[in-house]
Parts: sequence; structure tokens; C-alpha cells
Amino acid sequence: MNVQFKKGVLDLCVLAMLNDSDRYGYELASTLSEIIMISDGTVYPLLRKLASDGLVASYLQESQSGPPRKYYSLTAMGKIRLAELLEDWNNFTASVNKIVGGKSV
Amino acid sequence: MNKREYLSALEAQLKRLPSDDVKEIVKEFDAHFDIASSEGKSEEETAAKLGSPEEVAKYYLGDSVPDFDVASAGAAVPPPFPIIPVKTGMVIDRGIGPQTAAGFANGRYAKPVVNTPPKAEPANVPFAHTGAKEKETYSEPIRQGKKEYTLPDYSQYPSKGGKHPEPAAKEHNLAFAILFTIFVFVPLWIIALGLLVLLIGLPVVQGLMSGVLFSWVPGMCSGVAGTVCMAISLAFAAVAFVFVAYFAIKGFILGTVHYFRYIFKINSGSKEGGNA
Repeated sequence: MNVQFKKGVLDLCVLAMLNDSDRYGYELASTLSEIIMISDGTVYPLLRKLASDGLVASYLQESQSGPPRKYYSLTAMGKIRLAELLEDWNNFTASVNKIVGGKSV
Repeated sequence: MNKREYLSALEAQLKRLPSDDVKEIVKEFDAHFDIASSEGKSEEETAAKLGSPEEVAKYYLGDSVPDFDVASAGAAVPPPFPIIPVKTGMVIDRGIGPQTAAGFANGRYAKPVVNTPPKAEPANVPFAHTGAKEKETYSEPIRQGKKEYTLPDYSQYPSKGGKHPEPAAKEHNLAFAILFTIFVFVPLWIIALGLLVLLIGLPVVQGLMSGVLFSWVPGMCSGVAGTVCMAISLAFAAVAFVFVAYFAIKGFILGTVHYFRYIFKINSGSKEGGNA
């Protein structure tokens, strides 16, 4: 996948995943690295940046195995940002699809 | 690289950050290794998937600021996504791991184009250069198996809320604040105080002068008119005084409070984030 596409949508993907449910870092990292093929270590600095922007919050929760896990959740501000990003994304993909939709080489 | 090596390398790379932050970050990566090993992955495998500690640290420190400059690149049309010139940076495109293959095999995700890694990497890796970049800045990197790409420095994007911490500069802030106080704020305070005195003093002096002139200089005006003029001028002075005093004192107090709060915050070392 084009590396520049990934950069643009990484925030969106993280926020969207957190909108479904609270998740811990490993979960986010492994899912994202699987789907859009980034290295796992990328996700943690991104989460930290989102937290410092107030878009996500973190809390510790006991797990069945091992030490408590650090969960991330979407804040109200994060929801707003997600809505904005989603709108941008949908507009953008719709526009691009008008041009490239259904074409193959 | 095993977990212990990875974490200590990461910790060493992050030493510019406040120690609390470093602890927190290392703890998170520690947990990552633990969960991965509980899923049966080897430490080496996990470390490889994370990307090198140097690159992860670079991303945390935010000092891989790319020389992305639309104006100088002469690009007429800005790209749809923030595009960062590719240099050394985060390693992505690690290839398809076993779990990924499983994910695609059970049809959870669309099957990507998998390129077979080249036998030998050519010496001139495209986009991993440092020089002449304008032309290639917007072109699409060609993916050939494993390659190093830079991810964007997220801290440079404007955010809607909150401030980005700038941990790297923290230790210099106090010295800077002290110098700034001595050479900028103290003179500013003195000038402001002088202006305040002038602003209030002038109407008072003017009022008194006009009163004296109109009352005592023969032929200018009668005594009554002079007194009225003086009263009006003094009234203006009083109004000016109230206005100026209110805003100036309020501003002064608020400004000073903010200022000392700022210095105090630097002193105690700001603690942001933190887990519950």
C-alpha cells in the first residue's frame, strides 16, 4: 500500500477503532500493522500524540493474565475529531472514486 | 534483539524526555512484549515487528522533522495528504507475517499485492537519500519488499485542542526564563509603569495648567470659565485614571500571576498525561 496513504489515515484508523470499543495498545498495534502494514512501534507514539491532544484518554484495567493493561478510550473531543476526519475521508474517497472508480489497468 | 536489549536501547534513545515519560513509554513497550509472548511470539520476532528502537524514539522525540516545504519545492498543487519526504525513519512495510497471512487467508481483509523481496538491495535506495529532494518529494515510492520509510511527524500538524509537549526543550526553559525576565520583562515593566504615570499625569497637569491660565492670565477668560475648564479637565483625568488603573492593574496582576505560574511549572517539571 502506498506509504503516503497510510500516513494520512493512521489517525483516522486509530480513532475509528477506539470509537467501537476501548482497546489496549497491543490490540491497536497488531490490528493496524496487520491491515495497513505499519510497524507496531508506530502506534504507541501516535497514541501518545493523540493523548496529548486530548483526543484519547488512557486507564489501567486488570487482565485475566499478567499485569493490568493500559486501555485507550476516545474522549468527547476525539469523537468530534473522528467525525471531521471521517467526513474528510468520505468526501475525498468519493471524489477520487469519481475519477478512478471501477477502472483497472 | 531480545526484549531486554530492545527496552534498554529504547530507554537510552529517549533520554532527552523527562524520566517519568520514559518510564511510562518503556512500560508500555514492556507490556507489548509480554502480551506478544503470551501469544507465542518470540521476543526477536516482536522486536522486529516494532521497528528499531532508534526509529521509534525518533518518532517520540519528534526530531525527524522533514524539510517539507511546499513553497520552495515549487509545487503548485498541495497533495491531498500531508506528504513527508522519505528519509531514514520508521520501518514500515515489514512484509507479510504469519498472522497477517492468516488474516488474509480467512478473508478478513482484502488481499494486498505481495511483492517478493529482492535478492539484494541495490545501493541506491530510492527516497532514502538526503540530497536533491524537491523532485522526488511528491512522487510515489516504489515498494520493493523491505524498505525504510519515514512516517510523518505528527506533532507538526495543527491540533484542535491541547498543546504538544516539547519535552526536549524543557531543561533549557528555566535558564531562558531567567534571562528573559532580566532583559525583557523588567525593562518592559519599567516602561509600562512610566507610561501609566504619564497617561494619568498628563490630564492632571493639563487641567491644572488650563485652570491656572484661564483664571489668572488677564484677558484670556473670566475666572468662572477658567474654573469650569479646569473642572472638566480634571474630570477627564479622573475618568482616564479609573479606566487606566482598572485595566492596567488587572493586566499587571494577571500577567504576573501567569508569568510566575509558568516559571513555577518549569521548575517543578510539567507532568502531563499520566495513567490512571
